[in-house]
Amino acid sequence: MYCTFWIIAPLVPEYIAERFMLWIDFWRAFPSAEWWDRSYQTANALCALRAGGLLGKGLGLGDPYLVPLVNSDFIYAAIAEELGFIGSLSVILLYLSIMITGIRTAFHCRRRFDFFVVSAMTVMLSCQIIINIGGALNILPLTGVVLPLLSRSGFSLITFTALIGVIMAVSHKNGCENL
Amino acid sequence: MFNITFSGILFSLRSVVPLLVFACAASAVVFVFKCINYQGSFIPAAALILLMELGLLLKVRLAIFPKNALYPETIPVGFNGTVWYYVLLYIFSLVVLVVIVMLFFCRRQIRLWRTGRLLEWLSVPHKRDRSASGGKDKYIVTFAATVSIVGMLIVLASLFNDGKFLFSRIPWETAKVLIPLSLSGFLTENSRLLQPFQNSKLTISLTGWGPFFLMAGVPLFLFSRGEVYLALTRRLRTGNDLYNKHSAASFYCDKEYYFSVSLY
Repeated sequence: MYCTFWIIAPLVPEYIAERFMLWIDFWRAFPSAEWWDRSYQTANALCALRAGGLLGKGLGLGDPYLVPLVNSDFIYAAIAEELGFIGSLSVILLYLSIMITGIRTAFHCRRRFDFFVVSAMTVMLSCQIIINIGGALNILPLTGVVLPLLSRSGFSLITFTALIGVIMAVSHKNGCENL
Repeated sequence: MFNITFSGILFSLRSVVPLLVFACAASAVVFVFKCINYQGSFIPAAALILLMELGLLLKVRLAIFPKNALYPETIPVGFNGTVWYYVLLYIFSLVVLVVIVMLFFCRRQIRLWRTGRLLEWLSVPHKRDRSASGGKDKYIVTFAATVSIVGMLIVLASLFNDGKFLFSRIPWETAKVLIPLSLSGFLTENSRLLQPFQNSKLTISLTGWGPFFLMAGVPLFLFSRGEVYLALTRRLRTGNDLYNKHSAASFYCDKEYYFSVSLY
């Protein structure tokens, strides 16, 4: 991974390289003030995830504002802290249901265009969900994308509703053709 | 009066009203789907509504209790502005959902540019539609329109709205719908000619796949140029700004601090 990164490093902007290095060397210099300065965002998110436990602290009883950008990028950490593992798992299952329906709809399409459109929309939706939740769990580098339908967003919310609308529309078309 | 106790916290009726309003709007949407005899899967709609309701609940919670609800100094900060803004935005999104699904019901009633189907008119993948809509390769028009719209929004946002369009610094959300649509049109029209394996030999034709990679790569170029432009006008925050200026304690400050850092 290091080798791959050093090849593409000159091509990406500086702040992306910094985020990537932070993700790779997350525990370097731990515990120290330098480590905290570099990684407080992810560290606070991980602390929130740990504090939530199985059932969470309860709605209104956590400290979500300790995590920077909790309204947008790290809304998953707030859910995990206050609603616990059960709540965060429910969110993942809801997203999974949309993804699986998208894949099923794509494979039931009779026309190639519908297949490509639904596949593209499902992949786009899935990628953003995986990247955001992966970033909050420190499985993937932080990218700054919002969690669809939950985070503080304006245009993104309308776009993702439109993507799901296209999936539903093609699903309706498949349903009509199978009647 | 009219208070609700939930997990030991006293919620006023005012904090529940936005959730009820959205629930009514969601019920209306389900009713509309039933009325128009929707034949597809209801799972995405159900998941969407549940996720939106949870999102709204979190926004109500974050607006009412900026810190922990047990701390005595908690006050409702920005409740009216923030929460009702999101209620309206969520309801508007549901309207967008209904409109997009309804476009497929208008196949025979409203004939849009003599084809009747908006999505397919944009890419023209169907042989029957080609003669009516002016031939093939219309995905290029869609693609060009997408790039133009995104570019125009970047310029407009940077001129009039301090570099932001509906909270997006670079309004690439437009491209999330239109670029896959044009790429799907390209693949539909050309996929038969783009077989990577012919006679058990790997043959990747640059003339065939070149336009596809070009179309897929242009957004990256466009967005990176947008970032360069915003960085030049000092509207783009950098990694160092984030590390130096954001701290956990500073986020206890009000919204003004957050926006002042974001718009650095």
